[in-house]
Amino acid sequence: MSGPSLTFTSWLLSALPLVVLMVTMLWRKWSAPKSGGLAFLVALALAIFGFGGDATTTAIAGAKGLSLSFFVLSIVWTSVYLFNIVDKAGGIESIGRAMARLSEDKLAQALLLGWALSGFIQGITGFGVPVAVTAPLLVMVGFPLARAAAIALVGHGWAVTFGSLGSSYYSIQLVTGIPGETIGPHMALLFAVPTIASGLAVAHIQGGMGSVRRSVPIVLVVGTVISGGMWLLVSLGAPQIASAVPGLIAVGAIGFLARTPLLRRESVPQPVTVGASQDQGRQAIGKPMNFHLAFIPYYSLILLSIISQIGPIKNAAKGLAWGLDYPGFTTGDGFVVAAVNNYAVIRLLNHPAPLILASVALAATAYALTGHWRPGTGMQALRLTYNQSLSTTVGVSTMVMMALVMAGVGMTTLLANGIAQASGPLFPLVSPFIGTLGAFMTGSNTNSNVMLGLLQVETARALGIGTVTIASIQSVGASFGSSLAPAKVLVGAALVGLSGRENEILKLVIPYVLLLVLLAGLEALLLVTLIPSWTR
Amino acid sequence: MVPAKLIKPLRHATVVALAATFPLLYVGAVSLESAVVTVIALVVAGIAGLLAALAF
Repeated sequence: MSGPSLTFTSWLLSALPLVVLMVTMLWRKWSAPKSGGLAFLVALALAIFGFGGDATTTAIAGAKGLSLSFFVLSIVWTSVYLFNIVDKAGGIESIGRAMARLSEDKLAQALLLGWALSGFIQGITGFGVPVAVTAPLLVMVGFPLARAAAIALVGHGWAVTFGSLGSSYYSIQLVTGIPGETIGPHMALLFAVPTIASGLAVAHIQGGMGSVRRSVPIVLVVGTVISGGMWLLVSLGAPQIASAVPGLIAVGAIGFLARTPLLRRESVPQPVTVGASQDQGRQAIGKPMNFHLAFIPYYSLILLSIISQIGPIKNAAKGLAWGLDYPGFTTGDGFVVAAVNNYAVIRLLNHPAPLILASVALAATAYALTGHWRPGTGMQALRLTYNQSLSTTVGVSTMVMMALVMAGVGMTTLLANGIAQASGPLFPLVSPFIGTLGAFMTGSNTNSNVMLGLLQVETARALGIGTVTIASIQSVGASFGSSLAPAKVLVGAALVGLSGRENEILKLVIPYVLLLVLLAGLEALLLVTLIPSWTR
Repeated sequence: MVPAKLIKPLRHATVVALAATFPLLYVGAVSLESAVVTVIALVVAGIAGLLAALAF
């Protein structure tokens, strides 16, 4: 036996926690922690009474969920704290004004911050930081709260697989055994169309079809630059910077092209309302802060992220890490979970939280030296951070525990298996959605690849479909699908001030993500049908 | 369903229950391999889930 048997009933039962989660959030309009709490209880009951989990296996899976939650939440807590520190000192208002001056065109702002800058940040850090940084910036330049979060979520999806210095990309190679020189350029090509489409999606979220029409020339040019850069860097053997470098070039390109006729002007100038939505409670001190001074924590975060990847520094800090070892186990239904050491490890120089805290210290010092720091600001920001992060903390913990309990007793694999078997020749179309499911469940492109990459390739082999395309499209689907992950949505909601109203963001994001993933699936289907020899 | 004045304390209690769940689950299932501690940890985890569903 290698896990629970696939029947229609067992498949439906394995989907039940997800159904509960989605129905309560989207239909009943429950908050994320409320839905997550109920869905976790359903998953726990099903794991023990329906899928052969005993107390030990379920407890190990739950503890893994909390390990992973701590990994994600430490980023949320520190980035919310950083934001509050900068905000209390008056820096966010300065940043917002500067961003608004960069281009007064809302469409250009959406593309620059939500599509290009978020991609660059994903390239060097990842783990929700792009959403944590760019969503509040979009609010600062006057975007409505839910749209700001949605733009950041949808806009950074193209950069996830080669982001975080290539961690997801390396994981799909590892589990499928397909060498990088084979899968890398193939995957980069498959990213091209959805990447360009994600720029158009950002434009659509910003201003509907009018903005899409205006954005076509600039999105085509910048999207081609991003995709070409990604393919070139992967082909040259530098996949770890294949999101960061194109993202950075895209920031410059949009900043420049937005001032040219390539971005067609609107007939009516748009008013710029800086920080319209978050002015309450801001206590800027004295004279307005200079943009570069205000941006010091973000400069230092970017700089520290790059420095921490330099070979000797990275090696020297390798031992400075905290992670738990988990034993392997076999459930009563025969589902085998391997032992794992250093699970969800937090490395001092390779995890955003310590780097964000270092940036907080640098910012506080710089603000104090320039007279922008009032005594007690740190404590005020801490109290505010606790209150703002409460809902996110409970939401992430319960949902990730639900996901890991499901994965630990084989429910997720059963769910994916059922989808794969039912799809038959249409498997390439469905394959990226399986990647999306994994990313949604675990909040991570990497985890989705680890959990489902081999399953995808084995199914493709059994169906006689090109394994390179299927392995690639798994990661493409997970990359865009990770935007739906509750952990990321909750980060976005917390940072724009929509905690407890995550369903408003999810409702906006879901159609765009599904459309992008469908596009990736159509690409894969066309490839395996028209040029099958190239896809193996 | 829950009286308004109880919502805030229950939200804090949810966080406390989740924070307690983590070490309990790990120590019970991995370090001590104790069935009693593991079951207690799962009960606390269940209470945390229930509190989340009620208080948020």
